[in-house]
Amino acid sequence: MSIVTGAGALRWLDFSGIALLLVASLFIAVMIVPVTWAIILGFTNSGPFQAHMTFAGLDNYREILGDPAFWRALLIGTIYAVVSTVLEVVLGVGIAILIFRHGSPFVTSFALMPYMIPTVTTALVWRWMTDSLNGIFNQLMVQSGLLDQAIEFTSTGVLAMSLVTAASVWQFTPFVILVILANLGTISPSVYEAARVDGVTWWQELIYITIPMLRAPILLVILLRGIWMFNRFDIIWLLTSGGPIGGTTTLPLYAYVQAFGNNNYGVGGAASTVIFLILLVFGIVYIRAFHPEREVARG
Amino acid sequence: MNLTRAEFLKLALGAGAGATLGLPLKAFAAGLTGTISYLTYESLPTTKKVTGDLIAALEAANPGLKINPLFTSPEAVRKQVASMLQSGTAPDIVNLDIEDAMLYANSGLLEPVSDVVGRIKNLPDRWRARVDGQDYFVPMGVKFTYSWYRSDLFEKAGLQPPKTWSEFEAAAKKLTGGGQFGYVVSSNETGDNPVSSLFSYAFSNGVNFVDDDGNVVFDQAGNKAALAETLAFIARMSKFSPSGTNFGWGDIINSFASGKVAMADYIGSRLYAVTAQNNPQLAEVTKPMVQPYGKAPANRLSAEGFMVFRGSQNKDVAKQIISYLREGQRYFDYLWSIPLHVLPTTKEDFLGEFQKNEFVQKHQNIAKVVESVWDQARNPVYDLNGKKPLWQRAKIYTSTVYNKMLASVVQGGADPAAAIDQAAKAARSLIKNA
Repeated sequence: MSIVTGAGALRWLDFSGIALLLVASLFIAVMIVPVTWAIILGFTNSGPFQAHMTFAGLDNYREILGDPAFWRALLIGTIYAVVSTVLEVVLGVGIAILIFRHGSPFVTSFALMPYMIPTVTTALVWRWMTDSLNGIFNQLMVQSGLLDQAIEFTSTGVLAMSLVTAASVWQFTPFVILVILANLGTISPSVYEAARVDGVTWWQELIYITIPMLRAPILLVILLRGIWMFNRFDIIWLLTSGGPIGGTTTLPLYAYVQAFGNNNYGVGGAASTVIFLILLVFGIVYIRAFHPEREVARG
Repeated sequence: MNLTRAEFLKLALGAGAGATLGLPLKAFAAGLTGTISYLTYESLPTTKKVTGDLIAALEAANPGLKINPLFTSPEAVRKQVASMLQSGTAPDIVNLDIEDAMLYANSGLLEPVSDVVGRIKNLPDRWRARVDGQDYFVPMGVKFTYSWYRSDLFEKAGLQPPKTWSEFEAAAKKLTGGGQFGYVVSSNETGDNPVSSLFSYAFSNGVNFVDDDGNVVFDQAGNKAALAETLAFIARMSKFSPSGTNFGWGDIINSFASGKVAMADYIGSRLYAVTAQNNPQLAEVTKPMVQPYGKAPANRLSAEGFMVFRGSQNKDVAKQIISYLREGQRYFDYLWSIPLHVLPTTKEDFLGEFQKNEFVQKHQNIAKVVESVWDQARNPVYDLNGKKPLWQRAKIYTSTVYNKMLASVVQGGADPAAAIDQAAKAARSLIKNA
């Protein structure tokens, strides 16, 4: 073992100090400044056509909290986040276990592919596939006689939300597969061998060994995916623009429309701050309740 | 004269561009210096090429001048302007719509450009952003709303192009079925395409939205009844349309170009141009027609043009550059780069010099339709019967108030009268809080 001494240590300290400063600067630039700016905007009257922003106090918060569309967006966003996260986790864990036991490297790569496709491409592909005029889904269904007429996926809130959820689950489930696959490899084969000696079935093996051993990564994935899905903007906007009549308008879309549809950065900033606060509270409650960080450390 | 290689190339490029555009170098403004930002949403490759050539020629004639163009979407231009303003750097030249000009001018952000506008002969008042005797907008082009129909389907069904709403509805009904749709209704809750269409139909049904004193009047007496009729008409037409809840301008074109839609409205001729590019056979049977009307022919007009920001460090140079782009043959070269989509701002120019273009001459059917709607087209900042442009009209028009009103009736089946009341309340609140 070598010990760094004298001028060498000083140089190392200098380097680590500079590196730390760079990281801190980057963190401030990409995290602290935008969040602080959004919070400040929420207390102002400002927009693209205004020369100067003026202080608005809590007016913007009063406006959004008194707006039924805000509460509807909160409800719709919560349903979207919960349903898509549950589906992603259930499918992701199931597919990861199947791949771990029976898959090949090719199958693994194939299963992860949707996550590597840019969201804008995913959204456009899903939009084209489900298009009522030329989409392959409707063409096949109508030609095979399974449907009398094409389904207009954006014509009702339920259909539009189903479309958005299906596209989201398709794209983001591979993230869960990736995390679970990495953790499945850390479970000692001797645990399974001992269980098989005791005569457990594959189902008992899954319920009493595999799932409990995956508790830590599953808890972490639920937290991360829950936050990401609640914050999701791009795929929903590109597929439905939040319609029909607000049927897929989640809080990020609500904030965007306020800022850039109604040209009111103040209300958009206030809505963004509320989203941040909701997720902050969710994160704190979740971490206190389940301690995923402790589970990960233990794992 | 000693020239560096770079100077020689720049001069040669300028002379080349000048020659290409049929312009003598001496015709260019001279002695201009500074670094100028130029933001525009006219971003077709052909327009970029023509604008780029004009800029290169001007820079070559003015060695101290550097113009930095940004060709992007209208939304991106607005965001860029907002970012620049908030960072304390005003843009120099911006090409947006007259609605934008009214809103910027109301906030005191624009420099008057009356001297530039004053040099444009025969410019109609109805596309000028003139406030308290000063112009804040140099109109570069206008776009008219008209409709397109499939002549093959019409012939097969024994139909004539509809003129009135009742004929329109009957045609759409007859042409719907078996995977075919009669018409396209866009009812997106954001974006200006649904509102553009709504305004065209509402104007043709006699609706005034905001009076000349800035008061919301679309929920009052005759206006309310006429607007309710308009909304109900669009809702009925949506039964003959694919679901347009998330349709932007491009989706309207895509629907028509798919060959499964018999009629569509558009602003300008881009629908035809894109159809011709992607499906030439379909383009042969794609014909223009005047948009069917409710009570009397009228439609929404879009006016785009340049504005100079008050905070610009190069206001005078910016105005001279605008004059340079706006005058002579250069102006027509610019318009022809977006053929029959963006049109000259005077009828004299449209019927005169503008016709000296192969594409225009080849598509006289479009030119005739435009000519027939020229005098009846109105911009929302003037409203149907307004005498002066108002920022209040622009403020409501560029918000989502009208989108939501339309969507609630078309998508949600709401009672038009109730939707109008709700929209009027939101519109008044918007103006009050502005």
